[in-house]
Order: sequence, then C-alpha cells, then structure tokens
Amino acid sequence: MDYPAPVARLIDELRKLPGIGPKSAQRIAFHLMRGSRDDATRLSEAVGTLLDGIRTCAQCHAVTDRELCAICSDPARSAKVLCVVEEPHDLIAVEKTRDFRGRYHVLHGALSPLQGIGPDELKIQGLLERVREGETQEIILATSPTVEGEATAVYLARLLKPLEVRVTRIAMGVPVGSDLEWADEVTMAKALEGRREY
Amino acid sequence: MLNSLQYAGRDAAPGAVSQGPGLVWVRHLGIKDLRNINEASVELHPGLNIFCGHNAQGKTSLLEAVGFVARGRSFRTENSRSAIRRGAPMLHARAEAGKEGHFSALEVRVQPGRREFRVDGQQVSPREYQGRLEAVVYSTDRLRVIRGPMRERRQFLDRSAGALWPAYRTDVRAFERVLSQRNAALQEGARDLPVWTERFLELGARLRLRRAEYAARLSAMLQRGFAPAGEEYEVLTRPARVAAEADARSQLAGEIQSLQRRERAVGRSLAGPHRDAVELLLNGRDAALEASSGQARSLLLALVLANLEVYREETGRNAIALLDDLDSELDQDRTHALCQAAAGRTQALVTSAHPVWAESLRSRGQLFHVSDGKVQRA
Ligand SMILES: [Zn+2]
Repeated sequence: MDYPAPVARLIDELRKLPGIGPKSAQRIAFHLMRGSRDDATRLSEAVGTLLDGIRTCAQCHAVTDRELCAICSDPARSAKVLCVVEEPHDLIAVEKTRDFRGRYHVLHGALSPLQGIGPDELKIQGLLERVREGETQEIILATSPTVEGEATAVYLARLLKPLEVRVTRIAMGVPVGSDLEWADEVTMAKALEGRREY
Repeated sequence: MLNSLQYAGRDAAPGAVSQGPGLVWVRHLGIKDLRNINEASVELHPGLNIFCGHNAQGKTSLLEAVGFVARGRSFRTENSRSAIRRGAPMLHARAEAGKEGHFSALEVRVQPGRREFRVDGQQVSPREYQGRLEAVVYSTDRLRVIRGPMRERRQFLDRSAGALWPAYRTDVRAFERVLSQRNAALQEGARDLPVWTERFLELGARLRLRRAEYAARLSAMLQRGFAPAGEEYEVLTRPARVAAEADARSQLAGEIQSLQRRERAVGRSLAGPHRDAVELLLNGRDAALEASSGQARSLLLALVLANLEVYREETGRNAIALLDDLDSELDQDRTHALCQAAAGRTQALVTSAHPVWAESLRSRGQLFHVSDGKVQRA
C-alpha cells in the first residue's frame, strides 16, 4: 500500500535531509501526524522563514543575517589569524572552545571528485583574496581529518605557501576519520593548540 | 608460559590439552534464534570442544555464534540478518568469556538494520565493545584465500592485521577512500588530481609497508609453526618489502609516474596496494596454482594458527580458534596434530560430520552431539 499523497510528499522531502533515511523519514512523518496542529505550524513557520534574511557573510561565508557576520564585524577579533573550516557548523565547533580569537573562512565543503566537488565549487578564491590583502599572518587549516578534509588542506597549503603566510594544520587530536562537528570542546581546543606547520 | 617461538604443532607433547594460565576462553555460550537454533545453552571446555553431527544440524551455527560475540557479525555471510532464525525478530548470541577469575557476559543482539552490544547487561557502543574477545576462523569456504583470486589474499592479510591493529584498519579504509577519489579525479581529468595523487602516494605507501610487515611476521610464524611433514610455507608480498615509508613512497611514485598516460586513459589507478600481489608459497611454489586440496586445507589451517600466534605475541592474549568442518579431506594424523597445536594454545571449537573421527578426539576435551538445532554433551 502507498501512503496518501501528503504523507508521501512529506516523507520524500524529509529523506533529502542529511542523516535521514527512509525509516527515520517515516518515523518523523508519523510523529508529526500524531502531534498537535500548533506544533506543526510552528515547525513549518520556522522552516519557512529560515531563508528569509539569512545569507552568508560577504567576507568569511559564515551563516549570518547581515552583510558582514558578527565575527567579521567585531573589532576585537584579530584579522591576523584565519581559521579555515569546511562547513558553518564547524565554525560553531571551534567557537565553542572560546580559545580562538581570530576570524574564519568557511569553504562550504571539501574536495571530492566522487561528488563532483572541485576547487571551483569551494570558497577558495575569496580566501586567497583575503590573504593577498596582506593583513593575514597565519592560516589555520581546520578542515575535517577525513580523507577529503586532508586533501583539501593539502590543496590549500600549496596555494597559500607562495603567498608568504604561515600555514598550520590543526593537530589530529580529533578522532581520526570523523567529522570535525563531533569533536568535543576539550579535544577541539587541544587540536587548535597543537597545530603544526604545514 | 609457553614460549611462542617454540610454537609448533609438530613439537606439541601428546595429550597436552591443559590451558596455560591467563588464557581467554568462553565458559558458557548462549544462543537464541540463530538459524535453526531456537535456543541453546552450552558449557564449554577450556581446551578442545568437538561438535559432531550430520550436515545442516546447526554445528556451524555454534561457531558462528562465537563469531557474533567476538566481532558482532557473521563469518559465514556478509548479510548478518540472514542468520536470524526465520520468523524471529532478532538473534542473540551471548558468551561468558574472560580469564580465570575474571569473566564477563558479552552479548550481541542482531536485528535487521540494527546491532546491539552488551557487557554484563549494560549496553555499550561498538567501539567500547570491540576487542574483548577475538576469534580466528577456519572454514572450507575460506579456501578461496589459498586458491581464489589475488584480492582474497590481500583481503585476508588486511582483515587479519586490521583485527590486530585498529590503526591498520583505519589505514585500509582511508586508502580505499582515497583510491575512489583519485579514480574519480582521473576520470574527470580534475584540476585537483595532483593532491589526490599526493594523498594516494602517502596512504598507499603506508599501507604497502604495513601489509608487508604483517606478511613477514606471518611468514616467520608459518615457518616455525604447524606444517605437515615435508611442507614449507611462506607469505610473500610484491613489490618486495622496503625499509622505510619514504622509500615505499618514492617506489610507488615511480610506478605511478611510468603509468601516468595509461591511468589517464583508463581513468583508474593502475598501481598500488589494491593491485599488489600477495603470494602463498608451498615449498617455494605458488600455492594458488600448485596446492592439492589436502595441501590447501593444511596451508589454510597453518595460516589461521599463525594468525592466532601473531595475535598472541602482539597482545599477550589468545584468540579463540573456530575450526569448521575440520576433518574434510585431511587425514587423521594431520588433524590430530592440528587440534593439538590449537588446543594447547587456546580454546578451540571444532565441528565434524564424522562420529569416528570426533570420538577419537574425545579424550582431549569435550564432545558434543548436535542434531536439529540442539546440543548435547556426549
Ligand atoms: Zn564573516
């Protein structure tokens, strides 16, 4: 038996989300069906307004609701050190350590020929421009310690070295093969502290 | 303690089945809904356990249960859910395992799409669970390691070493990932191909080196371990082992360099650990081509036992030997010597369809009869 069209449509949409398989999608759909109309309305409004006024920072490509994100427009944050991460949520992971007082650059992905993601698909040009402006003294490559994150770090290091800037890679205190997002705060702080020349 | 350097089936004193101190063994095995076994509860012998019965009665499932407890998956199939008894929602395999005076209850529950691990009743993560019990497996379908395509031998080495060193396992996975990425980059003629080649060289060289090191250890163990009279075994990896990672890297870089044009044409990586040769030699000759069926079985057993010894040398712990259908096409002298070799060193669970053969081993451990999914002490 097929689900009625509205249910099937919801399941299809849920399945497009990361980490949601067919079973979870069904579970969520039925959970929502059993819940109150208020809950459902709040959820749909939250989703509906998500993209209104949300954009990426013109400088670092973090998620923000302004032209320049809070970190880029904070004069207390040093522009001398840039921490390069793959995804906006990786930035949050580093921020949680409260140890890092520099600024960020979000690539929005990592190199992955299997998924057709090459250098042009990532925010690399903007990073090079920021470095060429001359204020940056150190780039911390904090891409995930996955095969893709490591390759991206190597790629960036090759591009950055000729620009005469110090390039470091976070230490692999982060569980190997895992995404940065899952690193707990202490591990992440240690990883930043123990970064090495690249 | 027995000195592992002297490990040899041929030297083992007859009748010596008593366990050394500090050996890990399974005291009790509990099974629910595994293939044709409804429910089973078996007290095991610390040394040799012989399960005798006709085919398809559930002998192998008993070994499989120990495999489930050790690794969380079946050694008979990639699809663990197919081991769940028809009509049952999940299978349970439970073992009281450990050293004398320090046993814990290890339990695995498998249901479609889900596995659960428990230690003394407490649910734990797979990472927390793993490494509490190790098992090595001999079964005749593993003969493809000896006679099948090269891939089987590479996989055998990688899996055996991976069970011993988590870092090895990580290296294998990372290499496989980098290999697929580099292949994709080759196919597309991607601009970032050089970085993928760089990563490929780094991880490929490391895996080559580690694999060669493991092969050398296994080989050394084989040469002083069990072998029937007049047979010599050896494991060889090609290209030949080099001393340092830097050398392995420049070697691989050289191969890739010379294949550059062809690789771009076919869109695949044409040299590296995924294509290297792993040869098993029997009296200096390639066993994949030359071994008779009896020789192939002896060699496979010798490999399994050698693995067990490397594991013990490395961890100070023994792995449980699961020897399925041991008697088939092995003469009695060979099998006795082998049982002896395994049973003096660790706990062994052996299956046989031959009552006479099984009966002859009774004095060395415990004999069980298996019929229609039920197990009885004989
Ligand atoms: Zn910003």
